[in-house]
Amino acid sequence: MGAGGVWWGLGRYAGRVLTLREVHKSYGSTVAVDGLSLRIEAGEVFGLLGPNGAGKSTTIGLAVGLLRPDRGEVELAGLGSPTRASVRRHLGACPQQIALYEQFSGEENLLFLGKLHGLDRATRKRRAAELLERVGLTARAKDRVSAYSGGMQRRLNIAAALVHDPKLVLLDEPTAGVDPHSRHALFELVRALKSEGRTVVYTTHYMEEAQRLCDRVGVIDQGRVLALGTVDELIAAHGGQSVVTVLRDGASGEDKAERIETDDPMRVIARVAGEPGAREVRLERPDLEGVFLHLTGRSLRD
Amino acid sequence: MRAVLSLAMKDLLLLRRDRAGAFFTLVFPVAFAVLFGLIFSGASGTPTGVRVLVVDEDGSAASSAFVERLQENASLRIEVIGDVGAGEAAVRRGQRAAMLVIGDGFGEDVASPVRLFGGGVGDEGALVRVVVDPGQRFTQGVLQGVVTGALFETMRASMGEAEGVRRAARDGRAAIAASPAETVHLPMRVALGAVFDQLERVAAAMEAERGASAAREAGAPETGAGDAAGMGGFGVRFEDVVVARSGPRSSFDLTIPQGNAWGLMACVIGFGMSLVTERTRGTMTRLLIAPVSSSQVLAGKAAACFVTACFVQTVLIAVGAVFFGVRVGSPGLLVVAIAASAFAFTGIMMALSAVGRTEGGSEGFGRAVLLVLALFGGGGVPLAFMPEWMRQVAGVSPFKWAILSVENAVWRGANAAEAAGPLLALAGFGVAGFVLGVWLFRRSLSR
Repeated sequence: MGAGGVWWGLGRYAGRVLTLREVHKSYGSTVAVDGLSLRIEAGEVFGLLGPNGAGKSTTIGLAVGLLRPDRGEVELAGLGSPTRASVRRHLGACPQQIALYEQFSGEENLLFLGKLHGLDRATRKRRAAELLERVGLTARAKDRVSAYSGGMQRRLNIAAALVHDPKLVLLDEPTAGVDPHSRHALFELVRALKSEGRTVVYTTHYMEEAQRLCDRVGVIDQGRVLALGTVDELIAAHGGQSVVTVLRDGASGEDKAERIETDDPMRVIARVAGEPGAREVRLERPDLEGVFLHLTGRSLRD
Repeated sequence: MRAVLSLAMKDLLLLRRDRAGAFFTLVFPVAFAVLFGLIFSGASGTPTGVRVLVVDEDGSAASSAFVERLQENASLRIEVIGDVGAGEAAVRRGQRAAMLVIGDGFGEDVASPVRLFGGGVGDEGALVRVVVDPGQRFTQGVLQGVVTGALFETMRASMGEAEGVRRAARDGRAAIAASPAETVHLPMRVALGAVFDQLERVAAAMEAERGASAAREAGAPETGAGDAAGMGGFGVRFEDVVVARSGPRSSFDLTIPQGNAWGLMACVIGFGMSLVTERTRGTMTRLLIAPVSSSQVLAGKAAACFVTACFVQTVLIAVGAVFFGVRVGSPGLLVVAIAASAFAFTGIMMALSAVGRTEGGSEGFGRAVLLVLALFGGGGVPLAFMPEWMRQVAGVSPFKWAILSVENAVWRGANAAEAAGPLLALAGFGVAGFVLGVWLFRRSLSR
C-alpha cells in the first residue's frame, strides 16, 4: 500500500490511524510514559499539550517506532507496530531537534531522504522542489543548511518529514525557538496539511498553539494523559468559569475593579453594560493554561 | 541493499565536503609517508637494542664465549635459540631483526689459523652466517661491526695475542726455511707462505681492532659500520632472510605502509565521529524514523568507512609506486591485505564510535586509544627501534598487523602461510569491533 493510500479508512480500522494502548516506557528508575492510551483519528490535528518533561517526546518516539514500549502496544491501523521499518514508510515525523545534514544543501537533504524512502529519481526531484516551494526555501535550495537561519532550518526540518508524502505526520514541538514569522509560516503549513486530509500529531507546551491548531488535545503530564477532548470540551470540563472584570467611574487601579466569575459571561457583560457608571468591562475566558492548572495545580511553564 | 548504498553514499559525500576530515584521511598519510621516507632514506644512525637470535650449532667453549661477547654489546638484544627454521620464520615475520648461526666447527676454526685461512674465508667457509630482515637493512652495518669485533675477540682469545700469532708465523717460516727441499716441496712452501702471510694480516687486524677499542674507550666518536666494512666483514656472511626475493628498495617501502596506518586511523576517527555526530545532532533519529533498520544504518556507515579505508590505502600505494619506486610484489595479496586492514579498522570504528556519548568525548577517547595503538604498532617508530617492552605489547595493536600485511604483499615476499597470520589478526580485530560496536549501538538505542 502506498504512502498516499487511505489505509485507515477501511474495515475495523475505519477512522483510526494510530493507537497507543496502555503504553509504559521507563529509563532506569525514571518513568517517562506511564500507561498512556491514545487513539488518533484520521484527518484530525491532534495536540499533545504538556510542560517540558511531561513525556511528549517519548510518546512521539514510541509512536514512530524509535522506541520500544516496556509494556503496552503501539499500532498503525492495519499495518502493525511502527518498530517495523516497512510500517514506518507510512508515517512522517519531525523530531524536536533540527535533524538535517548541515553540509548538504536544503535540496540535497530532501533528495537523500527521498532516496532513503525508496522514491525514484524523478519523484524525489519533484517532491523536493514542491516542498522547498511550500516552505519558502526555493531561492535557498542550493545553499548549505549551515547557512540557513534557525527559522529556515525549522521549516526544512518539517519539509523533510513530508518528502515521501505520508498521510500521518508527527511534529514534535516544531516551533521551538523560532521567530514569529517562521512560527506563522509553520501554523499555515499545519493547516494546509490538515486541509489535504493528512492526520497530524502535534506536541507543544504552548497552549496558544494547541488552541489555534488542534481539533483535539490530550493534556499530558508525568507520562499520563490527564484529559482528552476538543479545546472547548476541555475548557468546559476543566477550565473553570469566565471572569468579567468591571471598572466603574471613580475607581482607579485594579484593586478597585469588580471581578465576576460566571459560566455565562455574555449575559453578565450585557447586564453590566446597562448599569450606570460602568467605565470598562474586560472578559477573561478560561483557556488550556487554566485547564492544566486545574488538572495539575501547576502552570504549563513551571 | 539500496538503503545501505544510499547511506554509504551520503557519508562519502559528507566526507568530501569536510575539508579537515579529507585532509587527515588522504593528505596527511601521504605527507607522513613521504616525509619519513625521505628522512629514513638518508639515515645512518645506530639503532639501539636490535633484537637478534643466535643459533649455536657448534656448542664449543669458543662459540659460547662468542655469544657472551655479543650479549655484552648494548646495541644488541641476544636471544639464543636452537632451531634455525624457527629463527628464520621469526626474522621473516619481522619479529626479530636478524639471526646469527654459529656453524659447526666454529671453535676449531677460530683456534686454528691454518684451518681458518688455509681454505680461505669465502661464503662457504664463513664462521658466522647472519640472516637478516631485509626491512631492517640499517641494522646490517651495526651487526657487521659488532659481530666481526666479537669474532676477533674470540679468535684472539683462542690463538693468543697478536704478538703470539706473529711469532707463530715467524716460527713457521723459520721451520719451513730450515726444512730440506725434499721434505717440503716448492708448492707446499708457497702454500704455507701464504698461510703465514694471512697470519700476519690477522695479527695486524687484531692490533687494529685493539686500537679501535682503545679509542672507543677513550671517547672517540664511533664510526659504526665503517669499521666493520674496513675489515671486510671477516668471517661473517650476511644473507637476506628471503633469498632470491626482493627486499625493500627504499625507505618508502617501509613508510608507505606506515602512512597507510595513519590513513586508517583518520578513517576510524572520521567515520566514528560522524556516527556520534549523527546521534548528537539528531540525524540518527531522522534515519531511524525512515523505513530502514538500525542494522542498515550501521551497515551504511561501515560500508562508507570500508570503501574510504580501501581508497586511502590504494592511493598511498599508488603514490608510492608512481613517485617513489615502490613495487608491489604480490598484487593479489595486496588487495587482500588492504581489504583486511579496512575491515579491521571499520570494526574498530564501530566499537569506538559507540563508546562516547558526546562528540568531544568520543573524539578524545578515540584519538587517545588509536594514537597509542599506532605508536605501539609501528605507525610512528619502526618496531626494531622500540624498547623491548613495547615490542612485547605490539601484538595488541591492529596497526602492527596492518603494516605487516601490506609489507608482506609489497616487498616481504611472504608465502600464503606467513601472510595468513597478520590477515587473521586483522579479521579478528574487525569481527570483535563489529560485534562490540553493534551491541553497544543497539544498547544505546534501547535507552
